[in-house]
Amino acid sequence: MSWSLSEAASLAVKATRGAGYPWGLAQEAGYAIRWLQANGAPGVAALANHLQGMENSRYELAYHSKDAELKKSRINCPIKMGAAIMDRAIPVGNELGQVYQPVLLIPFISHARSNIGARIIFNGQSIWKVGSGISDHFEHEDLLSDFAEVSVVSAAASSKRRDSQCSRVPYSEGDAIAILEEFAARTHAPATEKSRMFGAGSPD
Amino acid sequence: MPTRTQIQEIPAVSLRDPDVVMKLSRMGSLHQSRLSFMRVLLRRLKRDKWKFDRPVWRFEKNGTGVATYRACGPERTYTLIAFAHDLPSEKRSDRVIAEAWDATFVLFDGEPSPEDIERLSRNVPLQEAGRISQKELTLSRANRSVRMFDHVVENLAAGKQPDERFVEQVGYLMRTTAVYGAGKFGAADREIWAGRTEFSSSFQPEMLTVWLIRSFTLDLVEHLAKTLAPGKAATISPKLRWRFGVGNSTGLGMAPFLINHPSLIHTWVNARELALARVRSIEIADPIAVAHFKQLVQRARLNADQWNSAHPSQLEKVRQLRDDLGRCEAWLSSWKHENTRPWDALYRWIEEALNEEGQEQLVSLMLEPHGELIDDLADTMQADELSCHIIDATWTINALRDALEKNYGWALQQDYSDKNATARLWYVSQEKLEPRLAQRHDEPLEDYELPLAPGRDAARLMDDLADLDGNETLAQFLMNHPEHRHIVRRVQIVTKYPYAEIRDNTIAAEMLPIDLLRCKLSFFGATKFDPRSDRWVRINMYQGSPFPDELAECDPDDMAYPVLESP
Repeated sequence: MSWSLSEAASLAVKATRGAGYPWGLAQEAGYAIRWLQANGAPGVAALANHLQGMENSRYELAYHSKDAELKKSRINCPIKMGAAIMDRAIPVGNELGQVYQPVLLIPFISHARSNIGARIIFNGQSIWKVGSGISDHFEHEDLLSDFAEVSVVSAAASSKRRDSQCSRVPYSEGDAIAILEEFAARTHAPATEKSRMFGAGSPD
Repeated sequence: MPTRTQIQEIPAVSLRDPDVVMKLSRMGSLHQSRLSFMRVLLRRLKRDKWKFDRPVWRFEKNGTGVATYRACGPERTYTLIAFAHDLPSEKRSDRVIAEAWDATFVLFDGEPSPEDIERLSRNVPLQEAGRISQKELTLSRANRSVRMFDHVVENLAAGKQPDERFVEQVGYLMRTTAVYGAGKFGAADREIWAGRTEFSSSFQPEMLTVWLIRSFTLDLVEHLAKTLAPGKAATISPKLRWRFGVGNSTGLGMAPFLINHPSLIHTWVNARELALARVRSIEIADPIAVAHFKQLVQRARLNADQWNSAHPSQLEKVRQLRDDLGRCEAWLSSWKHENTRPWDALYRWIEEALNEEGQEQLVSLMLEPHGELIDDLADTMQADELSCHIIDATWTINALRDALEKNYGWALQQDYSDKNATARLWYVSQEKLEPRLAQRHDEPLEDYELPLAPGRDAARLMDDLADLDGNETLAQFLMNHPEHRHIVRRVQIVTKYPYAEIRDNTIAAEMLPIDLLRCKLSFFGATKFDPRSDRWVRINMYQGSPFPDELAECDPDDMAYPVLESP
């Protein structure tokens, strides 16, 4: 059994909304999960970890701040920061600070740096190259650290071939899918007596 | 490189204003046309000489079993796999979310092996709980129209034809409750097949599925009749076979689609509007096209006479349609079609004299005789929606304000403190897992509201732009106001694609969801809209169309309207 990319993206939008994000940011999460899974990275699992992390208050969400002290004391939300990176509200040529589930930032950085190339660094280790994918000596599980100090450095576009594109979310992601489904269910309202009175369907 | 949808074409006569076209009442008056997806499919299958057969037919006496219908084209083959079940009548429901159906289907990408059929037999009938794979393009299910189904089987078994009037009244043996594609339930993502020539335009795998389902429904009744009365049972006469389509029951679940897919909707409406503009721009009319059009007006009137509905608002619309077509016939007797731009003159009279129902019917009819001029537009009716996702945050606040004023004037004028303007609320219910409409001010559901109120959201956005420096870019604004992100994305899409937005209040007290349903279904090519309330509708698909074994010999475009009786 596997899931289509559009199913995973649509589920990601609903789950992120179910976790309390505004719809526009939830749509960014859907974009990121589709991108990551298509590039063979564990987007569904990272989002499931992220939403559960928020749920358990394991970290404080913050927008990216120019204030150096704030930057040190807070862990950034990858979805909010990712949206800001895509909007060029945050330049991506420098230190981005601590980011929870940093793999979720990769699609946004890749978009922002698609023309000039870049290497994405987690805790001092170059883990992803824009246009090429995950660095050779890392496994995809290495992308799933809870949080990391993220920075981006310039790198010429690589001649290495692009990672093969994946068109499915594999069976192994079932547990993460189930977590997202739980968050998505929060967007479903309990039926009311009035709503039951309306709607389609009756046999003839 | 620009896609075909982005190519700017400026016909001599302008396209209609989006503020006119994208009103709900007009969208709820649309009729199928030669750009509708069913018709695009049949034209292509005929042109490319597709072949059809039925390799598998394994059925028990009680009508349970499996059949496959194979469609072979120049480059690829697709197979409909149909599973028929023995459904107790108490389980039969038109709801999208149900437990069991009379028949379930998938469209397989290629030719299925026995192992594929076995795998699917364990999953397809389960629907919500079952999973399909990347080898399958669509998933569908259908229920019998019990009265019609039993009537046909009984009569055929008695060696008789079904009652023609009854067939005309119901129009189908089975109703689909949904046809899922584009990745749903694990099916192949749209990107897998979107580039294939045979699926250019929209919803082509789904339309192929329904067309093949139609053959299955007729084969099944004939099989059951033969089982009941071997050697005696009749088969349905070819003329009567055409009168059977596939029914479809569509409710609120489909309504949000038009709001959730703005760039795609633009391509549909833009193609139709561009087609109309091309026809209106014709300098000298072809007399054959004129004669064809005049005959079609009479045939459309016959179609309107055959249109049944028990719903008061639809009855009134059908009455208006009959009246409008009658007036048009009278006007056509003095139409000076030898003058320059006669189709434009006709359209201007239509716009002035008729109701929206008649106007849109006649727009569809004006396109009919002009296939060579407009059929290429079918290929533009698809969108790469992912490419519309990225917000251009380099826009200034002033640019955003200008875009709002230009394309959302209808929304900014609304007084949202009036409770009627925000009376409705779209949400998904836990119980049915389908989109629903609530009364906002009576039910505590705002926390669950879906983003299906672009007009109100645009007005809220404009309010929050009020005190900002107009030269600032959107980047900082979006960081400070993430709650506006979804509507900013829409505003930018609508700037590029003017028919992308319904220019009406989708949460107003007077909003009718059936207007949204009819718009989408008319682009599918559905006919005989029969609303059962203001929020769900039954329709007929492929009624009057040729069957696979007839396609090579028929003109599928000549079968959209009933044939006039010979004098």
